[in-house]
Amino acid sequence: MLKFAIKRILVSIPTLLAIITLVFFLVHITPGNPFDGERALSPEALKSLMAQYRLDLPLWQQYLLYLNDLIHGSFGISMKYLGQPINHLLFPDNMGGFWVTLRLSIYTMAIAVPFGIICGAYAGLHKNSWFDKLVVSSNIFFTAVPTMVTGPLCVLVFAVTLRLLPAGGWGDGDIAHLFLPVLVLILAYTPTIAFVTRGSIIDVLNSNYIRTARAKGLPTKKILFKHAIRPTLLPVISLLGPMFAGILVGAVVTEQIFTLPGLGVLTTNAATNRDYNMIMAITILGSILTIVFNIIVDLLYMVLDPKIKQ
Amino acid sequence: MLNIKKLTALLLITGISSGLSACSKEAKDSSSANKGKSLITVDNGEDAPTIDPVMTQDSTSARVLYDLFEGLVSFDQSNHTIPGLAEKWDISTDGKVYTFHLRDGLKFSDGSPITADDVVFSWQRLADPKIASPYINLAANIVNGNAIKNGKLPLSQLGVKALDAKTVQITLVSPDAKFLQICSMPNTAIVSKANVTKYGQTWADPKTMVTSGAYTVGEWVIKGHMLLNKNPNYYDAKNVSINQVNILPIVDYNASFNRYKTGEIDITYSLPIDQYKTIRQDYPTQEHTAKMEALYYYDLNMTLPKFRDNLKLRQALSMAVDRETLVKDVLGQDQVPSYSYVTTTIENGKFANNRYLWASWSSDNRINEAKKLFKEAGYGPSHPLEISISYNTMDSHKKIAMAIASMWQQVFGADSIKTTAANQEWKSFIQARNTANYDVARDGWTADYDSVDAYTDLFLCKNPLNKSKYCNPAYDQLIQQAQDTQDPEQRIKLIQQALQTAQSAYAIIPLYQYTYYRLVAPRVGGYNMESNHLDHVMSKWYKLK
Repeated sequence: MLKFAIKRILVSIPTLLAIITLVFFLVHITPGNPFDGERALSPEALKSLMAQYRLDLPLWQQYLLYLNDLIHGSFGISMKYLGQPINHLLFPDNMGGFWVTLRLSIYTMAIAVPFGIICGAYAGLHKNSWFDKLVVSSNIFFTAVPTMVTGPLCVLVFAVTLRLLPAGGWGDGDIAHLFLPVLVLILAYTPTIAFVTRGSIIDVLNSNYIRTARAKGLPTKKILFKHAIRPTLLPVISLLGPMFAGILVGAVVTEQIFTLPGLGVLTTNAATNRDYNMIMAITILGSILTIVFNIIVDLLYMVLDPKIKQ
Repeated sequence: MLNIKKLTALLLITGISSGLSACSKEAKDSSSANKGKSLITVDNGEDAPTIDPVMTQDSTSARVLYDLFEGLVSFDQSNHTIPGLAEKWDISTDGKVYTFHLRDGLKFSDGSPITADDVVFSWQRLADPKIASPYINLAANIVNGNAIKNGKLPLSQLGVKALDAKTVQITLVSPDAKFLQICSMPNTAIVSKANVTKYGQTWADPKTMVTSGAYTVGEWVIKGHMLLNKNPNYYDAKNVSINQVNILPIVDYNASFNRYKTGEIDITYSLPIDQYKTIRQDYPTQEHTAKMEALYYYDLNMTLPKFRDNLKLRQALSMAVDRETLVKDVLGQDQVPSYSYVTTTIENGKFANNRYLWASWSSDNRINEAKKLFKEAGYGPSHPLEISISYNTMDSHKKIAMAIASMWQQVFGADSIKTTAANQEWKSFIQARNTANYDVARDGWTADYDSVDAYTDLFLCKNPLNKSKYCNPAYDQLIQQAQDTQDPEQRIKLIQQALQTAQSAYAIIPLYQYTYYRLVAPRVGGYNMESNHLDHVMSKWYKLK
């Protein structure tokens, strides 16, 4: 298994390099530069800034220097927040950036995953019951009604009208401030997890080997926990990897509604401001997370499904 | 890339949440969360891109810097200059030599004395080409400023000299009526020589930064908050009544409004544009609207022969726009229709009468004249005018472009003018406009100081900010003469004459003067927005009621 993991990591390096290269050139050929503003800078100031950020060099040279920085663990300096290192903006000493989003995603997943799996399994086992219908329809409902609706609605109800919780902000990362954003994310992700689990368990229970087990007279409990659970979880796990990575870099809407200092807001800002280094850093971070989670998912697959080992 | 989706999402949020919050009419006493504490929470709309005074070029950074640093001169809530770190100053009769006398016992936030040396050092930083301040040109009128900027002279040659530990003399190349205002801008604020020298490039780190203003930075979480603490060493500390100010960077207007409603914010920055009327009704005593020292206009690209060689066309296009309708029905936030290249409020309204004559005509007369000029310009059904309006992606810009296109079509006839809207994302738009790659482009300008120069400089031949590329040496000469004269009456006359020259060329279409509106919680006193057209704000003004 270790051999497999190492192999996967090695294979992902060229993928990552390809992403870095592609995004680097795409970002730099997009019209406009980080220092264009309503008030155009004087030519001297612009020249000096371009030199500071090496933007006066030929593109290939900038690219090589950028790779060199990366190898030394630096994402460079932000072009929007002048003089601030990207590493510091993404991973600040105090609460902010990646740490906020990480906490948000961990809380969300910690609740959404078990809750989603249990609901899904229960619905699958009681196909066509009212509960099953609830799971199916809530999946449809929350896919159609995204966080951009549930978020403001929650703020309106719990913060503005009932005055139970703050309308936004991070506070000290306390429960009161986290409650609504986590709730909104749970509402967004749980139904999907439940829906996939439900579909999977129905498939598994209809498979031949379960029928055989039943025919042999094994008790239902044993069938479920011994034989059905592993294959049921396979599609759920392959969903969770990208989902976790997705919340980490993509909770933009939730962060915006609740004015949280996470990664999502930095992402949109970086793109509109042509903060080249920030765009690159977030893309690389997102790619690494996706790759890592995919590897974890594959490893879990091996644990759950011996067939894959071969 | 990933952004089309996200932008649509954001637009949708704004739309939906504004719809939702419109349903909830709450005019309860807000700010319960902050009650009793000597802490005021203020939304600043965004994070400050920099807190290094010389590097500032935007109002977000300036808002924070007015709290952190002070210049030789300060200002009051009506944008008038008042003594700052300097308690008084003398100006030579030729208007070129300013001698500033620092207050007694001035200290930086770390307790070290503020001396004339620090003042000289701060101004040298502004002039230093290596530091590359975006406002380096503020030092260009100081003796040797230009040569230093071009690297021809060392910094020590700058015309800012310490006569003794408490006296600084600044010598200008030519007199400048707005120089005291320049001395109150964040870019010329006084920093600690010892502190900046010690930490070099990273001196503006909140942890080690030493300030000269009423506050210091306690904590800064990007996209989270910036907590300012009162500076006990500030010369006027006894009159600073708020101990802590929490500055928030809330981009989403609705989120800001919600957090005001729950009492988490005491003063908003921007509010949902489409809810202006409702908010006014629901918060009659907390809502404040002020005229802003800023102009919204359209540039006509004077490098294109169709505009450059056709004055009548340019005039017709400007006259055909019904600004009253635009302001009242399209925008509806009490903006002021504009018929001039400058606002009616600048320098206490000295140039308020400088309007186009036709501004007071009846609508029919104005439209008939516009039609006539358009025809004389050579356009009509047989030879329709094709024109594209460029603007950066934003709802309000789009609304305005649509309204103006339809006004033109109504006045000149749909078969005589064909307009297309060229909507571009911000950075692409800026680049296109800076390189004169457009027909008609949306433009806007916010004045840095209460001097008409803020606007008149925009139309000088060599100014890179002159986006229409209008150039008339006669205009430039009049402006230069106005700057050189020592007689205030003469100065006004010359500027009026210059404005008439430029305005009759119709290189831009002035549309309206901006307004800004905010909610201020009942517990906050001491903040008067209405006369603060520049929207330069200091937290030391706030008091708790």
